[in-house]
Amino acid sequence: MERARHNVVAIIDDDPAVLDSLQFLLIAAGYEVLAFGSAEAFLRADPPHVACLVVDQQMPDMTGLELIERRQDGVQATPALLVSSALTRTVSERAAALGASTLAKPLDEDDLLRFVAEHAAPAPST
Amino acid sequence: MAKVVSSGNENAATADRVLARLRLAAIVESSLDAIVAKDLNGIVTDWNAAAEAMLGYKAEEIIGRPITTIIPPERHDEEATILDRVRRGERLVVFETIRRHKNGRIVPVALTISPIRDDAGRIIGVSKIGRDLTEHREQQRQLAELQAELIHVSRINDMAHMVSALAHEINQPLTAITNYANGLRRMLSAGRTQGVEQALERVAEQATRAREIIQRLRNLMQKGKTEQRPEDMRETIEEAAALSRAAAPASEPPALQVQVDDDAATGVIDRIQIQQVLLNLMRNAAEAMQDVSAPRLSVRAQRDGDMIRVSVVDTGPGLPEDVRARLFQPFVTTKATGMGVGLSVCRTIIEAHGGEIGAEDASGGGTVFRFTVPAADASQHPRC
Repeated sequence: MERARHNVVAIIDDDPAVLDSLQFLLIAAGYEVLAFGSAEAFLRADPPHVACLVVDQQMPDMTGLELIERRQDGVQATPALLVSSALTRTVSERAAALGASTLAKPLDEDDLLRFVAEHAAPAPST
Repeated sequence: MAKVVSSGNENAATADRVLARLRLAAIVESSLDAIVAKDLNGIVTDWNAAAEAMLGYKAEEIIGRPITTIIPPERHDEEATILDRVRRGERLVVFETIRRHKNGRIVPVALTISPIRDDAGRIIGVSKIGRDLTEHREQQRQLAELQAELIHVSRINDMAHMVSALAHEINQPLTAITNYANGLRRMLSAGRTQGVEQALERVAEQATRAREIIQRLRNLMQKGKTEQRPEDMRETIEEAAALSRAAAPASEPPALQVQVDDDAATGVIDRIQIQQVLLNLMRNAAEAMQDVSAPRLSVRAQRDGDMIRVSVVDTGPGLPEDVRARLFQPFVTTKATGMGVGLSVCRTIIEAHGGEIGAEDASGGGTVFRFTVPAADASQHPRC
């Protein structure tokens, strides 16, 4: 029960179709999901009990890396998976330096769910 | 005696006339242009060596026969019109038409036609000086081919600049499709069916999204033959805008406004080439506004006489004076990565449409690029 408080997966992507589909997949895999259309929306909501983040890199105003960096300032960094359809070595290295994992779009399901399963437990089935 | 003197003068005058005629005959015969004369009934009366070379008939074969022998049947009306006009004393200068060689080949010719008068000034026939345009046409055709090739190569070059951005744009719907498919498989294997139909609909939507991007790209890559025909200006502009937005270099694509006036709705254009021009102008605008906050791009199509004027207006820093003057020359660029051929190709395309292209300062700062293309309902100017 103690862990159940940290089971929410937050996803952040500016593309509505990608966001909706990712939410659909993670819910089908049994997770509780909070979806945000921009880094700002996520920061504004500042949801508690987030187990991990799945963040898109290429977003206007604030990139995924910038968001992860921002979250590092907090007392406890939230585990993050940075996703991008144009993963350059620079981006991957910067992500690694921030302790974040990276995954190329389109997302490999096994890699995605392995990351999520490491940090969040599925919601009790209804 | 007076009569004899007089007669001697007459003889001298006659001799002069004969000499003049011989000189004229020599000039006619040695002319590189075909020179043909006919009477008012259209019967050939003179035929020089160049005419024989151009049309295959020897003088003795054609003199005495109707001129229509060398005129293709569909141009016979034209001959009647010419005769009418010449009878009225009119001189037609450089008339382009076609004639038929003895072997059946069609020969494009430029004709200069004038009346032949007798000593009393009455029109008794028609002289035609004809120049073979075959080689000229062939050169024009080769030039047009080279130009089309240049335009196409430049378009491929434009595309190459956009490839990584477009790959991202196509990857987005593929990502969504992959996620939905994986989610659906999990749901179905768990025996859950709620929401399946809706998710499948989204999959189809995303497949359409990817297909549309690819289709637009493919259209632009296409070589095809260039063809100017009536096209919807709004569709033409919006398709180009969708591609340019997909490939915007800035993380924040400029806000775009498209306005097409009702009387500028249809232009006679080569759609792909005009989209190439629009893509170039929109990309330049987006690049110019990279460091501008709240960048705005507006594209407007307005009527301007027989033409449609399209303006692409940005809110960037404007163009330096010296650059603007040389803007449409090849290899002039303000960009580190650019070849500088984009705008010179744009000019080639617009001039092939009979239009003009130019740049000036926009009233609210920034730059406006304008070009013109023919409107579909322009008044016709028949050519003689």
